[in-house]
Amino acid sequence: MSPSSQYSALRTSSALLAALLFGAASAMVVVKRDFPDLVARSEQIVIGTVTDIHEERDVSGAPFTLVTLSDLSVLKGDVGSTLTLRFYGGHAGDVVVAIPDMPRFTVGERDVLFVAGNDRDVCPLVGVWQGRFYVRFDPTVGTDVVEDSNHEPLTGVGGRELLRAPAISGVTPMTLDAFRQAIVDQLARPQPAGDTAR
Amino acid sequence: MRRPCLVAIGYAVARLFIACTTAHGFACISSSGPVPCPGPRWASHGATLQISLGTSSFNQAALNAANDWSAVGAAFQYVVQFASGQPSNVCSTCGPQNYNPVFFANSVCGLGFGDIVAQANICWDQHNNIVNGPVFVNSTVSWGVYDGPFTPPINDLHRVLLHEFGHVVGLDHPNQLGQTVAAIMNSGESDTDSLQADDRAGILSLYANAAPTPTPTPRIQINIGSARGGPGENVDITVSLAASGASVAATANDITFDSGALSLNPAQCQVNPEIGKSLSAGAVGSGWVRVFVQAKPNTSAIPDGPLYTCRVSIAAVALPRTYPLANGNTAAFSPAGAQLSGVAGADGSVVVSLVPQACTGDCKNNRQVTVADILTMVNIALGNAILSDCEAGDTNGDGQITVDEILQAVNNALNVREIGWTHPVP
Repeated sequence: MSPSSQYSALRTSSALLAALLFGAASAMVVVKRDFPDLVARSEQIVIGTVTDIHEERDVSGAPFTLVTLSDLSVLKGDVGSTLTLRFYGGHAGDVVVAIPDMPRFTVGERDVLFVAGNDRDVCPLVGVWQGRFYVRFDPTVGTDVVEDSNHEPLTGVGGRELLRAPAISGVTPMTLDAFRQAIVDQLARPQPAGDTAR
Repeated sequence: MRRPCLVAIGYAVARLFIACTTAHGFACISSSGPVPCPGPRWASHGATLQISLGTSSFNQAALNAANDWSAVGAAFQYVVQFASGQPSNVCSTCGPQNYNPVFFANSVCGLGFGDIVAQANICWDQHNNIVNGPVFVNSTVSWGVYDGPFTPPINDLHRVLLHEFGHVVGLDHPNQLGQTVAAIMNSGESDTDSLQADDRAGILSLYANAAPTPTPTPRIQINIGSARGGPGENVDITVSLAASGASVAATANDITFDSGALSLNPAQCQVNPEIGKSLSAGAVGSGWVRVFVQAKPNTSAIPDGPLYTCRVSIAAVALPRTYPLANGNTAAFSPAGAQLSGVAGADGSVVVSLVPQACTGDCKNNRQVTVADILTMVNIALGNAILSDCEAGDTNGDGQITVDEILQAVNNALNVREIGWTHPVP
């Protein structure tokens, strides 16, 4: 199967396959990052829509999955009209190289991403899954709201922590506008020494 | 904005469905993230971990983590081997089959860990068989071994590897399937330091509910030999066949090695001319060579014995130690071209030493074995002389001269050829 047909099959079989399997995760295997950490350690913070996912292999044959976001709203850092994030993992010939717990993306979804180490680290998000938030339209409040990587709705910021509530709890989720404002407010605060983007 | 709404409904339905139909929270790996089991798994119902974590306490923690999984009672067992140095060939794709090094590194194939403290790369083939699962442990963060509450910034190596070895088994994070269970396999901060009921249920679902694939007893062996040499020297490695009566007309195997210390030019692999076959060899990657002994020009069975020899060059900067020559992807084919089952092979090694190994019987250290030398050895064996008269006769260092050593000295005397300090020795 040629790389192009692999790509085609990947795209057409299911958007779910679009992903990259990256992983690592677990509290035990990923450094915990709280909200001020996420903001401070990010080199870019963007809200964007995933418009393309494809794979490539480097000269050594190692597979990578490239996730391109468009329709960007940039809250931190310098970003062009699109942003392509490079995750280690994907298909390599007839085998899949997967890292459990790596954030997975679907074309068409909208996310808030705290980016650091793109093209440099195995995962270009601060705290791996901790630096990825889904944006979804909530018909009950008539606007976009924000969920964490486990699809638990955010409900606000308490101290250094992002507050969450089970999806079925009935608690009003945090809107995208409120989350955006929380990020902007955090950016305006003085940053402790050593707590900055790498 | 309709799509997000539909997506959200889809997720809600999916999560509700999972919550209603899944008795356990455990999840399996897939190309699209955590899914209800089953998922990819080891067809052999076992995996070999090559552990090289530097200290005995860390190696012990890794062994304990592997044993914890093996003790569940599932039809899956970890085999632990302790290795030294950094593994090779873990980055190009998946590396050699069932090559699962567990090691400290300051990067993952040249990429930074970022906030990751340990990572398992799980590779599986088109048949959903896991073939490889190297575990990278971030050497730039703090490590210890302790029970009880997780106390950052010190990471507990045992619980981290317990989690990663769960990935190598084929399990993923149940909490990312919308499940709320106690599990070492959950992602997220946790004080859990041991396998939980859900973890055990997970491995049992993968390896007990399905009939275990019988592991054929290897009857055909393709074995890599060993050699000894000093930095900057070349040594020859012989790969041999032991077919146990099977008709083997062609073979294949990989040799992987530490490319920082050793190099193996495929062009310097030569088939044993006595078997009447041809040889094809090539580099799969850095430190990774694949060798085929082909059924050309004839398809007759190969007799037991040497298949081919490869010259291995020892780097001038190689530290003195034993460097494994790992065997992998062993395969054998019948005269009719059918791939034979039950093929295995032993690893070899290159011992890099700064001390030349004397030729047995070269009592005077003049690169010769003379009749006088042999007589000296006989006298030592009879008690008529002391060992210091011919220390080169005591090849195995047991303080005695044995009949075997005298016979070896006789052979060396008859075999006049000398290869520097590596005169033929057993």
